[in-house]
Amino acid sequence: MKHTIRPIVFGGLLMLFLLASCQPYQFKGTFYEDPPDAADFELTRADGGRLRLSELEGKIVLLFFGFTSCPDVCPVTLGHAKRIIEELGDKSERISYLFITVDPERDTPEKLNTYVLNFHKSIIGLTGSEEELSAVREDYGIYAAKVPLKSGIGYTMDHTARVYLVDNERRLRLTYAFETPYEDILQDIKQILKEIDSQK
Amino acid sequence: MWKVFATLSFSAILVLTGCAQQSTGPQIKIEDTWARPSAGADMNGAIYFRIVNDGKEDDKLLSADTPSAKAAEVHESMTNDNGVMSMKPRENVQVPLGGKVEFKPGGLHIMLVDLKQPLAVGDEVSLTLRFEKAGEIVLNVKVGEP
Repeated sequence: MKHTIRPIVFGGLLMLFLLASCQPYQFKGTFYEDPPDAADFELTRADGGRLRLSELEGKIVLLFFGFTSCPDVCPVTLGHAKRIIEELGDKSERISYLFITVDPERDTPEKLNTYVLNFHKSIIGLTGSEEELSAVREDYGIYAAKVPLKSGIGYTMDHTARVYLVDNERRLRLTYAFETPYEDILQDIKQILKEIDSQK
Repeated sequence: MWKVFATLSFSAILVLTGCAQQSTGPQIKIEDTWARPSAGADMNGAIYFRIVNDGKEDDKLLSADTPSAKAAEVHESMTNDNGVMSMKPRENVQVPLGGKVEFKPGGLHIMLVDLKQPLAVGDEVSLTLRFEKAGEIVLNVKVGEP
């Protein structure tokens, strides 16, 4: 009896393994079944000039909304951005990481630029008029509100702390909750780059 | 006479030993302290650690202070179900007897408001934590890689 069970168990395991390896890649982020077009926008670069999202077509774009006085959540997310860019190595030229301020009152372009460069030289800080910034937030479903605090910083900004991934065809593909391990985002980016390469 | 003396001495030792064993109150230990490198001058910083209370009484963290910034405040970041992050100052933080409280990214932290100097990896920051019962604990916190 023992002799008949063993091959069955072994065969079963082998089948399971083969089936598992045939499974399509499961994205780690929250993905859109039918990815919508990512709304285009034009904002002011913290390092000078203007930037339109559509200029970056062909690249994977990661968007994060935050503010430079934020001591905890924003540095965690930008610290992850740094690791993602570094670990992509040469492939990092195929992505753009945009940090859009929700606090233009305090985040002057100079301050914003010093802040983002501190994490990685390729991260782009973006600002604009209150109207321009609120239009972008509305398009991407970003909540931001000024909250006065009994604190030396005067006020804080409550804001959506998700990272948005726009693919090379400017479709909104994935979003990531705060504290998503950076390795998950990195793996998804590598997968999309593979998809792009296989379509060439 | 010597018997009385010996008995008295013995009793005194017992009483003293008893006192030592009964040392009451909280015993606060601060573990795994680190500060985040700052992103330029006049920026804010954050310090993280774990508070362990091995004593026999609850305690409370009341405030923090540092010479390296305009203020050191006890804050907590929170993210709601919609992914919206907020931050609030905490008036105090309970540290129950036998308990641990984690100060970690995305949660409780000491916020350094308006740093006098940028903080780079390897720098040290002096931080004083004030507890309701344990009193003041002074720490030298190293700036580490996040």
